[in-house]
Amino acid sequence: MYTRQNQKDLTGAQKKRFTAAVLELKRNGTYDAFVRTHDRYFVPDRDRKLRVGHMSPSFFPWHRRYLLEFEKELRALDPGVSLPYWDWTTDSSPVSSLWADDFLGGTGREGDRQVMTGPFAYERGNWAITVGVTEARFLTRNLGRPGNPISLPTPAELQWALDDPLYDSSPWDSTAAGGGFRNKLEGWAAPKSERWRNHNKVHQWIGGHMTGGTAPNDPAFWLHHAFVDLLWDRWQQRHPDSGYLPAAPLAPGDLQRGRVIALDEPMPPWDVTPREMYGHQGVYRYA
Amino acid sequence: MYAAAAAAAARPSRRAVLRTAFTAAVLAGAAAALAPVLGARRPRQTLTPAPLTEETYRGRHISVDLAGAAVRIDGRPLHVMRRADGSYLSGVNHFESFATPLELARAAVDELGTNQLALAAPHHG
Repeated sequence: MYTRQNQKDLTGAQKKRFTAAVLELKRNGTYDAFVRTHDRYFVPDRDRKLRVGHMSPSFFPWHRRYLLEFEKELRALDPGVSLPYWDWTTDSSPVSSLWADDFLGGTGREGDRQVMTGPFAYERGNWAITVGVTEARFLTRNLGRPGNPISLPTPAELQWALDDPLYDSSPWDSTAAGGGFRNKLEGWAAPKSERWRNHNKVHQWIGGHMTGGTAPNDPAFWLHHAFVDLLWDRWQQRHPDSGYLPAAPLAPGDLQRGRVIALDEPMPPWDVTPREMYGHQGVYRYA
Repeated sequence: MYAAAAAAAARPSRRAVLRTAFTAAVLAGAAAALAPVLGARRPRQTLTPAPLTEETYRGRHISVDLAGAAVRIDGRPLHVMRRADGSYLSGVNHFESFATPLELARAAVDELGTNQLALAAPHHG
């Protein structure tokens, strides 16, 4: 049993151990395999294929397992390391300590959006992008998207998602409008005036690599998704009588049959079920 | 309506040049040349031109083949995906969608900065 801490509470030594372990996974090739996995499992919901990672009910359990796999690699290198989480409703500034030189480094520069500070700056020689949609070999960010400003989600916006007692609803995709914590927190469901909320909006606010399928190229990905994982806990605690949906495989004739994961169906690439991922007692806890 | 498009419209420095081209023009010429051989019994015909929208946006060349929703930025292919509601997602923007391929392409340019798309991008699905 280990603890995932709020990133703002980490000591300088803890930040250094975390980034050192991340850099070592990058050096030995493990890191880029994780980037590829995330990209491979992004299946848009118009495709008649199985969607496990996004635009589907298994958004939370799939990412929980994905983070656990990454954390296992980190802890194999340094058992004192765990994934920190970033509460983007409170640490919402581009000059937060999260983006300081001793942790994730700051925003990208004008023009090519290259991150120039911190351990993941290309010129430090330890962070070359090998899995990306652009030719850029350096990590890119555009915090707050100054050319078209965007704000991080507010506490009220987050609460709107957490207050929904329904986990998810048909058609179990990005258009699910009948309510549901999953689509509200993933961020496809939003009032027309806003369009994007919560998880999706955070990817957009960071910008650069974080807006694409190879988002884990930016180590900020793990801190963002650790908080998303914590929010699934918060929702479960707030709605103890609710549960994962769909609870049973969809009926023959349902257009989403075979495209979404029910409670006891296995999720690739690990063949674990949402039920197995529903809690994490005895493995880690959030502080 | 859509933030990126609205910002683009508001940006005074933007010099967008919209025009419609006909990708099939060359093909049509070839078809005309072969017509006596291949289509001797048919009346002479030209191929229906595939509409191609092109514009220069923030100094980048965007082309959208409306038939196949194929988008290129400075000649490099942008991976295009569809959402269940019919809107468009790209390899650059996975976490927001756009009503048209052109809005998608402009948003990709906004996000790319001065970077070029890779000739071969990783694929998923």
